[in-house]
Amino acid sequence: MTRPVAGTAPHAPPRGAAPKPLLEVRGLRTEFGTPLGVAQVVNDVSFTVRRGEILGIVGESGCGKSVTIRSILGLVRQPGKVAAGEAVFEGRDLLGMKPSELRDVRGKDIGFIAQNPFSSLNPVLRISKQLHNVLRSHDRERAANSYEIGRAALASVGIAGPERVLDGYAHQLSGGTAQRVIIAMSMLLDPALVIADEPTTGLDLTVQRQILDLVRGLVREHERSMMLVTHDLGVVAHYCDRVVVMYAGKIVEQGAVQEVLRAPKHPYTRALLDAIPRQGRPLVHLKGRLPDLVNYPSGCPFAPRCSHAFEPCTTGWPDATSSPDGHTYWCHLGAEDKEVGNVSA
Amino acid sequence: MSLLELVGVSKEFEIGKARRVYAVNNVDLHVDRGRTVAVIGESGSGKSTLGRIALRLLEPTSGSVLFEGRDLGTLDRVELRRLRSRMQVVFQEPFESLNPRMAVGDIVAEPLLVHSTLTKAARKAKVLEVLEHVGLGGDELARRYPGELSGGQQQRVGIARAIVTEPSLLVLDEPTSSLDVSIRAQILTLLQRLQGELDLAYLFISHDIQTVRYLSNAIIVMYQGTVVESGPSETVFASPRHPYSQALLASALTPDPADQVPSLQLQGDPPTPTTRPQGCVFRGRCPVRIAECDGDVPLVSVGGQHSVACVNLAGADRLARDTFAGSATS
Repeated sequence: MTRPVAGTAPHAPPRGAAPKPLLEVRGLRTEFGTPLGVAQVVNDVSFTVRRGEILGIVGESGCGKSVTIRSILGLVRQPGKVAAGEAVFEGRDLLGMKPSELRDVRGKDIGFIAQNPFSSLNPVLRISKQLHNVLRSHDRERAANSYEIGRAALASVGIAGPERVLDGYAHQLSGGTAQRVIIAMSMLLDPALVIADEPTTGLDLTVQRQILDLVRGLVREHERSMMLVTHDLGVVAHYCDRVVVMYAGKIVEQGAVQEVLRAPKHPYTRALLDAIPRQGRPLVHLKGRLPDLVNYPSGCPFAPRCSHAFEPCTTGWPDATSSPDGHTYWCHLGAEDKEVGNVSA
Repeated sequence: MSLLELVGVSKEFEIGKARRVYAVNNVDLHVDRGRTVAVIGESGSGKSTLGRIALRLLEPTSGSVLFEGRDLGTLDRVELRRLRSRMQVVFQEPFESLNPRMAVGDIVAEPLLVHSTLTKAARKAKVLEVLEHVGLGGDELARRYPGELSGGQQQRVGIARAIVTEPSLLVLDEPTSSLDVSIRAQILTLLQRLQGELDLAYLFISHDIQTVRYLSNAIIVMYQGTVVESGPSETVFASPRHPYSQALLASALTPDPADQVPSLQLQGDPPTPTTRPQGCVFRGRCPVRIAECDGDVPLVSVGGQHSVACVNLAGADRLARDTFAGSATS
């Protein structure tokens, strides 16, 4: 069995030429009004999704990873709002679009796989009808043939006996099959980008692997790009090409998976890795909790929990430290040219 | 004598007319003092039902549960209640298992109202001592409400409530699976420390393979209410013999991209256990199924304490070589 290789995308452009990324997010800020004031949930986030790559977005609850993708998709609802930034997808800023324009892009050019398949499926419509509706809203010609197209789509996601599923309702499906239906639906209109928000979190472990293998296969085969939001570093390690690590609404580190997970630079990334129980290694855990997002700290938001914190950490957000291969982190240790120390010491 | 012993325990639930769920089928297990036995399996495998039966929160359809050598099924209510102070439980969802209208101190004191004759002052002192023990020291914290606490703190309250009656057994029903990784590490460290200090035995119910491996002395792998493999953790993790155990262990992804990912050859989803199990429970998804799998598949020893319910061990061992070829066993 060949090892699933992270890294080079199937149709990576020639080296040297800087290809235009498929999606470029710049300076994204999303705020939520609360009785105590405005919470900075996504706080000046910038990243790109390259063509043909799987980008992981990882962090713990409250880090803003889900709100980031919901902002891009125009799915943030009151009391939340996107306060600043742009998300340029194939030359058009998604954040500046009218709702009707964005609806056109969503589904057709960008597919979305949510965490809970049952909240994405309509409980009172047959699956065939729901697939039909997806086609009808974007592609009236193919809609006439929706049953056949649906059958092929369900077969392509590994559903044996697709007619049984097409003629049935969501509640008759197991979690794994329901998520396969959502995957088929999200790719029905051949999107260039698929955004998946914890697509396997509620599923059984053996089914998780099957679903992840399926999604990766479909993304690679059709040369799509994917953003995979997860809290699971194991998923990032084996299914993503690059990764963005978020903490308290900020990106603290990003780069190729090989670099970020094997040679993490930011103390938070290291802490996340050290908190995973592994044989023959002491379990190291973080003390303290997330900072108050309403009174957002002026320094590094991780400083109060960081064992390396020193004086500059309380004064301001650090500048980026980058290596030529694109591995970047935001930490005063790097800015002052100090080392974080060895990994897994 | 084991602290807790389950002998031939089965549980069936009636759902609607003439439909039954066979949640637990003929399970034996024992937990010794100060040891951790992990029950691992996916949702619907019957592991939580098993935990509830161990505490007599559910009555088994057949089989018996012995705690400190006494058959719980033969005890009257008063005797059962007395024994219960020594067997406690920590639930998966910390917030949902705490009364939102009770202060932390009152939540932790409640078992003492039921199980002890302590005076009010003595109760308060005991509560503060136990809270201190789980890392929630201070009078001020005892006056707070669950909604004011973080997920990790809430689970510490759940643990404090469980140990306040000085039990010898804790059933831990997925105590960390709703928590973030950094918080999970805190709770695991706490559970480890408490076990050493209080000589606690844990029946640890989980689907989290890394956690189980880290914490347990012995493991029991369940599928569809049935034990498919059991044995010392080291042995089972080093060489899982049952095709389902292999798939389960192979599914755990390490955070190191350089580790080889075992290949998974499973098909399909777990079925719903509404038919009485006959033959191997796993044969519908098993890549090495043979005709004998439709017959009786007992759990038999393959050496020492290590037992496997598989009638095609030769095939299963070949599968293991294919699955884990080249990968360091997870």
